Amino acid sequence: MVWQDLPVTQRALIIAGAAGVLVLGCGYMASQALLALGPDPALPSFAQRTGNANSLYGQISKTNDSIREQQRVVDSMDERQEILDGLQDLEAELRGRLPTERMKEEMRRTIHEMANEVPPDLGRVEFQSVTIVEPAEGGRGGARRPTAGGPPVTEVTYKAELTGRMNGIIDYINRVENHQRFMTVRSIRIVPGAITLDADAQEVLQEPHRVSLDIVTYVYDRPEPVQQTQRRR
Amino acid sequence: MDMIRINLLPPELRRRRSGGAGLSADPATLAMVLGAAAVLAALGFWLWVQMVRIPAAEALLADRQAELRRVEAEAKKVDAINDQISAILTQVNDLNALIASKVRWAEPLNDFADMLGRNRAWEDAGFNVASTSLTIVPQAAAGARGARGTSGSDMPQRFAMTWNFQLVGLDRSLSGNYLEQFFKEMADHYFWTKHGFQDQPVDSYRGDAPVWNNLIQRVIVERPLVFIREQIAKAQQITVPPAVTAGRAGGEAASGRRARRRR
Repeated sequence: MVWQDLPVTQRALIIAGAAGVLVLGCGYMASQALLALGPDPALPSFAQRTGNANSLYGQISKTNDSIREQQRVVDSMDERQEILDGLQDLEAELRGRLPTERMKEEMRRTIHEMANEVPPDLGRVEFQSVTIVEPAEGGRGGARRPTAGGPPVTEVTYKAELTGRMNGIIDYINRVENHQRFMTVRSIRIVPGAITLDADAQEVLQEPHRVSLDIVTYVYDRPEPVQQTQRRR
Repeated sequence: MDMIRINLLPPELRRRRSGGAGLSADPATLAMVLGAAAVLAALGFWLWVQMVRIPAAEALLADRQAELRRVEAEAKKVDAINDQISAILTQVNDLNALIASKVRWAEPLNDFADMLGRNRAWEDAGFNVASTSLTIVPQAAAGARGARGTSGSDMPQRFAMTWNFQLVGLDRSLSGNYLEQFFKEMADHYFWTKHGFQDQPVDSYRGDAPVWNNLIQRVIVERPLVFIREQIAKAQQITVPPAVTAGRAGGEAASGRRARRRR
Protein backbone atom coordinates (compact mmCIF):
# COMPACT_ATOMS: atom_id res chain seq x y z
CA MET A 1 0.00 0.00 0.00
CA VAL A 2 1.42 3.34 -1.01
CA TRP A 3 0.78 6.85 0.30
CA GLN A 4 -1.56 7.67 -2.60
CA ASP A 5 -3.62 4.64 -1.92
CA LEU A 6 -4.34 5.74 1.68
CA PRO A 7 -7.58 7.48 2.32
CA VAL A 8 -7.30 11.20 2.80
CA THR A 9 -8.32 11.05 6.41
CA GLN A 10 -5.59 8.56 7.25
CA ARG A 11 -2.98 10.62 5.48
CA ALA A 12 -4.07 13.69 7.38
CA LEU A 13 -3.89 11.82 10.65
CA ILE A 14 -0.40 10.53 9.88
CA ILE A 15 0.83 14.01 8.97
CA ALA A 16 -0.74 15.51 12.07
CA GLY A 17 0.77 12.78 14.22
CA ALA A 18 4.23 13.28 12.75
CA ALA A 19 3.94 17.02 13.22
CA GLY A 20 2.82 16.48 16.78
CA VAL A 21 5.83 14.29 17.51
CA LEU A 22 8.17 16.88 16.04
CA VAL A 23 6.49 19.68 18.02
CA LEU A 24 6.76 17.68 21.20
CA GLY A 25 10.44 17.01 20.50
CA CYS A 26 11.13 20.67 19.89
CA GLY A 27 9.06 21.57 22.93
CA TYR A 28 11.08 19.22 25.10
CA MET A 29 14.36 20.68 23.88
CA ALA A 30 13.02 24.19 24.34
CA SER A 31 11.92 23.25 27.84
CA GLN A 32 15.41 21.97 28.67
CA ALA A 33 16.92 25.13 27.22
CA LEU A 34 14.54 27.26 29.31
CA LEU A 35 15.49 25.30 32.41
CA ALA A 36 19.15 25.98 31.74
CA LEU A 37 18.36 29.62 31.04
CA GLY A 38 16.32 30.30 34.16
CA PRO A 39 13.98 33.22 34.71
CA ASP A 40 15.07 35.40 31.81
CA PRO A 41 13.12 38.67 32.02
CA ALA A 42 13.11 38.86 28.20
CA LEU A 43 10.80 35.84 28.08
CA PRO A 44 7.09 35.93 28.75
CA SER A 45 6.41 34.96 32.32
CA PHE A 46 4.85 31.61 31.43
CA ALA A 47 8.12 30.59 29.73
CA GLN A 48 10.33 31.57 32.69
CA ARG A 49 11.54 28.52 34.59
CA THR A 50 12.52 29.14 38.20
CA GLY A 51 13.17 25.66 39.55
CA ASN A 52 16.86 25.41 38.72
CA ALA A 53 19.16 27.28 41.09
CA ASN A 54 22.10 26.59 38.82
CA SER A 55 20.45 28.08 35.76
CA LEU A 56 22.19 30.98 34.10
CA TYR A 57 19.79 33.55 35.51
CA GLY A 58 19.93 31.76 38.88
CA GLN A 59 23.69 32.25 38.85
CA ILE A 60 23.28 35.84 37.65
CA SER A 61 20.90 36.48 40.52
CA LYS A 62 23.31 34.98 43.07
CA THR A 63 26.20 36.92 41.57
CA ASN A 64 24.17 40.12 41.79
CA ASP A 65 23.45 39.36 45.45
CA SER A 66 27.16 38.85 46.08
CA ILE A 67 27.97 42.09 44.26
CA ARG A 68 25.46 43.96 46.44
CA GLU A 69 27.00 42.52 49.61
CA GLN A 70 30.53 43.32 48.52
CA GLN A 71 29.43 46.75 47.40
CA ARG A 72 28.12 47.43 50.90
CA VAL A 73 31.58 46.64 52.19
CA VAL A 74 33.14 48.89 49.55
CA ASP A 75 30.70 51.68 50.40
CA SER A 76 31.99 51.64 53.98
CA MET A 77 35.55 52.35 52.84
CA ASP A 78 35.50 56.11 53.47
CA GLU A 79 34.01 55.64 56.90
CA ARG A 80 36.54 52.94 57.82
CA GLN A 81 39.40 55.04 56.48
CA GLU A 82 38.20 57.95 58.59
CA ILE A 83 38.16 55.71 61.65
CA LEU A 84 41.65 54.46 60.84
CA ASP A 85 42.94 58.02 60.42
CA GLY A 86 41.40 58.98 63.75
CA LEU A 87 42.99 55.99 65.48
CA GLN A 88 46.36 56.72 63.92
CA ASP A 89 46.18 60.30 65.16
CA LEU A 90 45.24 59.07 68.62
CA GLU A 91 47.98 56.46 68.62
CA ALA A 92 50.54 59.07 67.55
CA GLU A 93 49.35 61.34 70.35
CA LEU A 94 49.63 58.55 72.92
CA ARG A 95 52.97 57.39 71.54
CA GLY A 96 54.21 60.95 71.81
CA ARG A 97 53.69 60.78 75.54
CA LEU A 98 56.19 57.95 75.87
CA PRO A 99 59.91 58.44 75.36
CA THR A 100 61.72 56.44 72.75
CA GLU A 101 64.90 54.45 73.25
CA ARG A 102 66.97 57.41 72.05
CA MET A 103 65.37 59.68 74.64
CA LYS A 104 66.46 57.67 77.66
CA GLU A 105 69.48 59.84 78.33
CA GLU A 106 67.45 62.96 77.67
CA MET A 107 64.93 61.75 80.23
CA ARG A 108 67.69 61.24 82.76
CA ARG A 109 68.81 64.82 82.17
CA THR A 110 65.23 66.05 82.45
CA ILE A 111 64.78 64.28 85.77
CA HIS A 112 67.92 66.00 86.98
CA GLU A 113 67.06 69.44 85.64
CA MET A 114 63.56 69.44 87.06
CA ALA A 115 65.12 69.78 90.51
CA ASN A 116 66.47 73.18 89.47
CA GLU A 117 63.00 74.29 88.40
CA VAL A 118 61.60 74.05 91.91
CA PRO A 119 60.94 77.64 93.09
CA PRO A 120 63.44 78.64 95.80
CA ASP A 121 60.65 79.78 98.12
CA LEU A 122 59.56 76.15 98.40
CA GLY A 123 63.00 75.16 99.58
CA ARG A 124 65.96 74.28 97.49
CA VAL A 125 66.06 70.75 96.10
CA GLU A 126 69.55 69.40 95.60
CA PHE A 127 69.93 66.64 93.12
CA GLN A 128 72.37 63.96 94.24
CA SER A 129 72.25 61.30 91.56
CA VAL A 130 70.12 59.48 89.06
CA THR A 131 70.80 56.08 87.61
CA ILE A 132 69.00 54.24 84.86
CA VAL A 133 68.07 50.66 85.55
CA GLU A 134 68.46 49.03 82.17
CA PRO A 135 66.07 46.36 81.02
CA ALA A 136 67.24 42.85 81.68
CA GLU A 137 66.09 39.56 80.26
CA GLY A 138 63.42 37.97 82.39
CA GLY A 139 62.22 41.28 83.71
CA ARG A 140 64.66 41.48 86.57
CA GLY A 141 66.59 44.51 87.65
CA GLY A 142 63.81 47.05 87.77
CA ALA A 143 62.94 47.10 84.11
CA ARG A 144 60.64 45.01 82.01
CA ARG A 145 60.72 44.21 78.36
CA PRO A 146 57.56 44.24 76.25
CA THR A 147 55.21 41.37 76.89
CA ALA A 148 53.53 39.37 74.20
CA GLY A 149 50.23 40.96 73.36
CA GLY A 150 51.03 44.09 75.31
CA PRO A 151 52.11 47.45 73.94
CA PRO A 152 55.63 47.56 72.49
CA VAL A 153 57.16 49.31 75.47
CA THR A 154 59.97 48.63 77.87
CA GLU A 155 59.69 49.74 81.44
CA VAL A 156 62.69 51.76 82.54
CA THR A 157 63.33 52.88 86.09
CA TYR A 158 65.34 55.96 87.05
CA LYS A 159 66.59 55.80 90.59
CA ALA A 160 66.93 59.36 91.82
CA GLU A 161 68.48 60.62 95.04
CA LEU A 162 67.87 64.17 96.21
CA THR A 163 67.67 66.31 99.27
CA GLY A 164 65.39 69.17 100.08
CA ARG A 165 62.59 70.62 102.15
CA MET A 166 59.23 68.87 102.11
CA ASN A 167 57.47 71.47 99.98
CA GLY A 168 60.27 71.46 97.46
CA ILE A 169 60.22 67.68 97.29
CA ILE A 170 56.46 67.65 96.75
CA ASP A 171 56.84 70.25 94.02
CA TYR A 172 59.52 68.15 92.39
CA ILE A 173 57.35 65.02 92.46
CA ASN A 174 54.49 67.06 91.03
CA ARG A 175 56.72 68.18 88.15
CA VAL A 176 57.75 64.60 87.44
CA GLU A 177 54.15 63.42 87.42
CA ASN A 178 52.95 66.22 85.19
CA HIS A 179 55.75 66.09 82.66
CA GLN A 180 54.64 65.80 79.04
CA ARG A 181 56.43 62.46 78.82
CA PHE A 182 54.93 59.71 80.88
CA MET A 183 56.66 59.31 84.21
CA THR A 184 55.28 57.90 87.40
CA VAL A 185 56.80 57.75 90.86
CA ARG A 186 56.76 54.08 91.73
CA SER A 187 58.35 54.29 95.16
CA ILE A 188 59.40 57.02 97.59
CA ARG A 189 61.59 56.93 100.63
CA ILE A 190 61.90 60.10 102.70
CA VAL A 191 64.23 60.31 105.66
CA PRO A 192 63.75 63.57 107.56
CA GLY A 193 66.84 65.63 108.08
CA ALA A 194 68.36 65.73 111.51
CA ILE A 195 67.34 68.52 113.84
CA THR A 196 70.22 70.39 115.42
CA LEU A 197 70.43 73.28 117.75
CA ASP A 198 72.49 76.32 116.93
CA ALA A 199 73.55 77.21 120.42
CA ASP A 200 74.96 80.60 119.48
CA ALA A 201 71.90 81.73 117.58
CA GLN A 202 69.57 79.78 119.86
CA GLU A 203 67.87 78.39 116.79
CA VAL A 204 66.53 74.96 115.94
CA LEU A 205 67.94 73.95 112.57
CA GLN A 206 66.63 71.14 110.43
CA GLU A 207 68.78 69.59 107.78
CA PRO A 208 67.16 68.80 104.40
CA HIS A 209 65.28 65.55 104.03
CA ARG A 210 66.94 62.78 102.07
CA VAL A 211 64.73 61.36 99.38
CA SER A 212 65.04 58.29 97.18
CA LEU A 213 62.64 57.99 94.26
CA ASP A 214 61.99 55.26 91.74
CA ILE A 215 60.71 57.08 88.68
CA VAL A 216 59.28 54.75 86.08
CA THR A 217 58.67 55.44 82.44
CA TYR A 218 57.86 53.27 79.46
CA VAL A 219 60.13 53.46 76.45
CA TYR A 220 58.32 52.97 73.21
CA ASP A 221 60.22 50.33 71.24
CA ARG A 222 58.57 50.75 67.87
CA PRO A 223 59.95 53.79 66.02
CA GLU A 224 57.14 54.10 63.50
CA PRO A 225 53.43 54.01 64.12
CA VAL A 226 51.53 50.94 63.04
CA GLN A 227 50.71 50.75 59.33
CA GLN A 228 50.69 54.33 58.22
CA THR A 229 51.15 53.29 54.63
CA GLN A 230 47.55 53.32 53.53
CA ARG A 231 46.76 56.59 55.15
CA ARG A 232 44.69 58.84 52.87
CA ARG A 233 44.18 62.54 53.21
CA MET B 1 -35.95 17.79 -21.39
CA ASP B 2 -33.73 17.39 -18.46
CA MET B 3 -30.45 15.63 -18.89
CA ILE B 4 -28.84 13.62 -16.13
CA ARG B 5 -25.14 14.54 -15.57
CA ILE B 6 -22.96 11.72 -14.47
CA ASN B 7 -19.33 12.27 -13.29
CA LEU B 8 -17.36 9.27 -14.32
CA LEU B 9 -14.06 10.40 -12.73
CA PRO B 10 -12.81 8.50 -9.67
CA PRO B 11 -13.61 10.37 -6.46
CA GLU B 12 -10.02 11.56 -5.82
CA LEU B 13 -9.89 13.14 -9.29
CA ARG B 14 -13.20 14.84 -9.08
CA ARG B 15 -13.18 18.64 -8.67
CA ARG B 16 -13.96 19.58 -5.15
CA ARG B 17 -17.27 20.96 -4.50
CA SER B 18 -16.88 24.52 -3.32
CA GLY B 19 -19.81 24.43 -0.97
CA GLY B 20 -21.19 27.60 0.51
CA ALA B 21 -17.83 29.30 1.04
CA GLY B 22 -16.48 28.37 -2.22
CA LEU B 23 -13.30 26.95 -0.62
CA SER B 24 -12.42 23.36 0.03
CA ALA B 25 -9.05 21.94 1.20
CA ASP B 26 -7.47 18.58 1.12
CA PRO B 27 -7.31 17.47 4.83
CA ALA B 28 -3.87 15.95 4.31
CA THR B 29 -2.49 19.14 2.84
CA LEU B 30 -4.10 21.14 5.59
CA ALA B 31 -2.58 18.85 8.20
CA MET B 32 0.80 19.14 6.53
CA VAL B 33 0.66 22.92 6.44
CA LEU B 34 -0.51 23.27 10.01
CA GLY B 35 1.89 20.59 11.23
CA ALA B 36 4.80 22.25 9.48
CA ALA B 37 3.85 25.59 10.96
CA ALA B 38 3.69 24.11 14.44
CA VAL B 39 6.98 22.34 14.03
CA LEU B 40 8.61 25.47 12.66
CA ALA B 41 7.26 27.55 15.52
CA ALA B 42 8.52 25.08 18.13
CA LEU B 43 11.85 24.69 16.41
CA GLY B 44 12.20 28.43 16.00
CA PHE B 45 11.46 29.06 19.67
CA TRP B 46 13.96 26.44 20.74
CA LEU B 47 16.58 27.85 18.40
CA TRP B 48 15.92 31.41 19.65
CA VAL B 49 16.38 30.32 23.25
CA GLN B 50 19.40 28.21 22.41
CA MET B 51 21.13 30.58 20.02
CA VAL B 52 20.11 34.00 21.35
CA ARG B 53 18.92 33.97 24.94
CA ILE B 54 21.41 31.50 26.39
CA PRO B 55 24.49 33.21 24.86
CA ALA B 56 23.11 36.55 26.02
CA ALA B 57 22.64 35.17 29.54
CA GLU B 58 26.14 33.69 29.48
CA ALA B 59 27.56 37.05 28.46
CA LEU B 60 25.58 38.77 31.18
CA LEU B 61 26.79 36.22 33.75
CA ALA B 62 30.39 36.71 32.65
CA ASP B 63 29.92 40.46 32.96
CA ARG B 64 28.43 40.16 36.45
CA GLN B 65 31.20 37.79 37.52
CA ALA B 66 33.79 40.26 36.27
CA GLU B 67 32.00 42.98 38.22
CA LEU B 68 31.98 40.75 41.31
CA ARG B 69 35.71 40.19 41.02
CA ARG B 70 36.25 43.94 40.72
CA VAL B 71 34.07 44.67 43.75
CA GLU B 72 35.72 41.87 45.73
CA ALA B 73 39.12 43.39 45.01
CA GLU B 74 37.83 46.72 46.36
CA ALA B 75 36.30 44.98 49.36
CA LYS B 76 39.67 43.40 50.13
CA LYS B 77 41.10 46.89 50.53
CA VAL B 78 38.39 47.59 53.09
CA ASP B 79 39.25 44.30 54.83
CA ALA B 80 42.88 45.42 54.96
CA ILE B 81 41.78 48.72 56.52
CA ASN B 82 39.67 46.80 59.04
CA ASP B 83 42.67 44.65 59.94
CA GLN B 84 44.69 47.81 60.53
CA ILE B 85 41.88 49.23 62.65
CA SER B 86 41.86 46.09 64.80
CA ALA B 87 45.62 46.16 65.26
CA ILE B 88 45.83 49.86 66.02
CA LEU B 89 42.79 49.73 68.29
CA THR B 90 44.50 47.13 70.45
CA GLN B 91 47.62 49.26 70.46
CA VAL B 92 45.72 52.41 71.41
CA ASN B 93 43.82 50.68 74.20
CA ASP B 94 47.01 49.15 75.54
CA LEU B 95 48.73 52.54 75.50
CA ASN B 96 45.71 54.11 77.15
CA ALA B 97 45.77 51.48 79.86
CA LEU B 98 49.46 52.06 80.35
CA ILE B 99 49.10 55.82 80.66
CA ALA B 100 46.10 55.43 82.95
CA SER B 101 48.21 53.30 85.27
CA LYS B 102 49.95 56.40 86.62
CA VAL B 103 49.38 56.83 90.33
CA ARG B 104 50.06 60.35 91.57
CA TRP B 105 51.74 61.03 94.86
CA ALA B 106 52.38 64.77 94.89
CA GLU B 107 48.89 65.68 96.06
CA PRO B 108 48.60 62.98 98.76
CA LEU B 109 52.01 63.99 100.09
CA ASN B 110 51.02 67.64 100.06
CA ASP B 111 47.85 66.83 102.01
CA PHE B 112 49.90 64.68 104.36
CA ALA B 113 52.26 67.59 104.98
CA ASP B 114 49.22 69.81 105.54
CA MET B 115 47.89 67.39 108.12
CA LEU B 116 51.16 67.28 110.01
CA GLY B 117 52.17 70.89 109.74
CA ARG B 118 48.95 72.80 110.03
CA ASN B 119 46.88 70.76 112.41
CA ARG B 120 45.54 73.14 115.04
CA ALA B 121 43.40 70.42 116.60
CA TRP B 122 46.44 68.47 117.69
CA GLU B 123 48.17 71.52 119.05
CA ASP B 124 45.03 72.48 120.95
CA ALA B 125 44.85 68.97 122.39
CA GLY B 126 48.39 69.37 123.67
CA PHE B 127 50.52 67.35 121.28
CA ASN B 128 52.41 67.54 118.01
CA VAL B 129 53.25 64.89 115.48
CA ALA B 130 56.42 64.65 113.45
CA SER B 131 57.66 62.24 110.87
CA THR B 132 60.80 60.18 111.31
CA SER B 133 60.61 58.37 107.99
CA LEU B 134 58.23 57.75 105.16
CA THR B 135 58.43 54.96 102.62
CA ILE B 136 56.04 54.28 99.77
CA VAL B 137 56.35 51.09 97.78
CA PRO B 138 54.03 49.28 95.40
CA GLN B 139 52.38 46.22 96.83
CA ALA B 140 52.44 43.03 94.87
CA ALA B 141 48.73 42.54 94.70
CA ALA B 142 46.52 41.33 91.91
CA GLY B 143 46.56 44.02 89.28
CA ALA B 144 49.21 46.08 90.98
CA ARG B 145 51.44 45.63 87.99
CA GLY B 146 48.66 44.85 85.64
CA ALA B 147 48.74 47.98 83.62
CA ARG B 148 50.33 46.36 80.65
CA GLY B 149 48.42 44.26 78.24
CA THR B 150 45.19 44.55 80.12
CA SER B 151 43.47 47.09 77.98
CA GLY B 152 39.99 47.99 78.90
CA SER B 153 39.98 46.65 82.40
CA ASP B 154 39.98 48.60 85.61
CA MET B 155 43.36 48.03 87.17
CA PRO B 156 43.66 48.24 90.95
CA GLN B 157 47.07 49.37 92.09
CA ARG B 158 48.05 49.07 95.72
CA PHE B 159 50.79 50.91 97.51
CA ALA B 160 51.99 50.51 101.07
CA MET B 161 52.87 53.76 102.77
CA THR B 162 54.97 53.05 105.84
CA TRP B 163 55.15 56.01 108.13
CA ASN B 164 57.21 56.22 111.29
CA PHE B 165 55.69 58.94 113.38
CA GLN B 166 56.68 60.62 116.56
CA LEU B 167 53.96 62.00 118.79
CA VAL B 168 55.17 64.48 121.40
CA GLY B 169 52.71 65.44 124.13
CA LEU B 170 52.66 67.52 127.26
CA ASP B 171 51.16 65.06 129.70
CA ARG B 172 52.18 61.41 129.97
CA SER B 173 48.89 60.39 131.49
CA LEU B 174 47.10 61.70 128.43
CA SER B 175 49.11 59.75 125.86
CA GLY B 176 46.16 57.42 125.22
CA ASN B 177 43.93 60.44 124.58
CA TYR B 178 46.55 61.96 122.33
CA LEU B 179 46.65 58.82 120.20
CA GLU B 180 42.88 58.62 120.08
CA GLN B 181 42.68 62.22 118.96
CA PHE B 182 45.55 61.67 116.53
CA PHE B 183 43.85 58.77 114.75
CA LYS B 184 40.43 60.42 114.79
CA GLU B 185 41.74 63.59 113.21
CA MET B 186 43.66 61.62 110.63
CA ALA B 187 40.66 59.46 109.67
CA ASP B 188 38.59 62.60 109.09
CA HIS B 189 41.33 64.47 107.28
CA TYR B 190 41.16 64.92 103.51
CA PHE B 191 44.60 63.38 103.27
CA TRP B 192 42.97 60.12 104.28
CA THR B 193 39.54 60.43 102.68
CA LYS B 194 40.55 61.81 99.28
CA HIS B 195 43.25 59.53 97.99
CA GLY B 196 42.02 55.98 98.24
CA PHE B 197 43.54 54.92 101.54
CA GLN B 198 41.95 51.72 102.76
CA ASP B 199 40.12 51.07 106.02
CA GLN B 200 41.19 53.21 109.02
CA PRO B 201 44.55 54.76 109.97
CA VAL B 202 44.45 53.02 113.32
CA ASP B 203 44.22 49.56 111.77
CA SER B 204 47.96 49.03 111.56
CA TYR B 205 48.65 50.44 115.02
CA ARG B 206 49.99 47.70 117.28
CA GLY B 207 49.90 49.25 120.73
CA ASP B 208 51.60 52.26 122.20
CA ALA B 209 54.73 52.51 124.32
CA PRO B 210 54.87 56.07 125.59
CA VAL B 211 58.27 57.19 126.81
CA TRP B 212 58.76 60.14 129.08
CA ASN B 213 61.68 62.34 128.07
CA ASN B 214 62.97 64.18 131.11
CA LEU B 215 65.15 66.50 129.07
CA ILE B 216 62.29 68.08 127.15
CA GLN B 217 59.64 67.19 129.70
CA ARG B 218 57.44 65.58 127.09
CA VAL B 219 55.89 62.19 126.52
CA ILE B 220 56.93 60.63 123.22
CA VAL B 221 55.16 57.85 121.30
CA GLU B 222 57.02 56.43 118.34
CA ARG B 223 55.41 53.77 116.17
CA PRO B 224 55.34 52.74 112.53
CA LEU B 225 52.04 52.78 110.71
CA VAL B 226 51.35 51.12 107.39
CA PHE B 227 48.65 52.64 105.24
CA ILE B 228 47.39 50.91 102.13
CA ARG B 229 46.44 53.08 99.22
CA GLU B 230 44.50 51.57 96.37
CA GLN B 231 43.80 53.28 93.10
CA ILE B 232 41.64 51.97 90.32
CA ALA B 233 43.12 53.16 87.08
CA LYS B 234 40.24 53.64 84.70
CA ALA B 235 41.58 53.40 81.19
CA GLN B 236 39.71 55.11 78.40
CA GLN B 237 38.34 52.30 76.30
CA ILE B 238 38.28 53.24 72.65
CA THR B 239 35.58 51.65 70.56
CA VAL B 240 34.80 51.85 66.88
CA PRO B 241 31.67 50.92 64.95
CA PRO B 242 31.74 47.31 63.77
CA ALA B 243 32.98 46.65 60.27
CA VAL B 244 30.51 45.94 57.50
CA THR B 245 31.17 42.48 56.17
CA ALA B 246 29.72 40.66 53.18
CA GLY B 247 26.73 38.64 54.27
CA ARG B 248 25.90 40.83 57.24
CA ALA B 249 22.76 42.84 57.28
CA GLY B 250 23.64 46.30 56.14
CA GLY B 251 23.37 49.48 58.12
CA GLU B 252 24.97 48.13 61.25
CA ALA B 253 27.86 50.47 60.85
CA ALA B 254 25.91 53.12 59.04
CA SER B 255 26.19 55.43 62.00
CA GLY B 256 29.95 55.04 62.11
CA ARG B 257 31.91 57.95 63.32
CA ARG B 258 35.53 58.49 63.98
CA ALA B 259 37.03 56.42 66.73
CA ARG B 260 35.25 57.54 69.85
CA ARG B 261 36.18 57.33 73.47
CA ARG B 262 33.98 55.70 76.04
CA ARG B 263 34.67 57.16 79.41
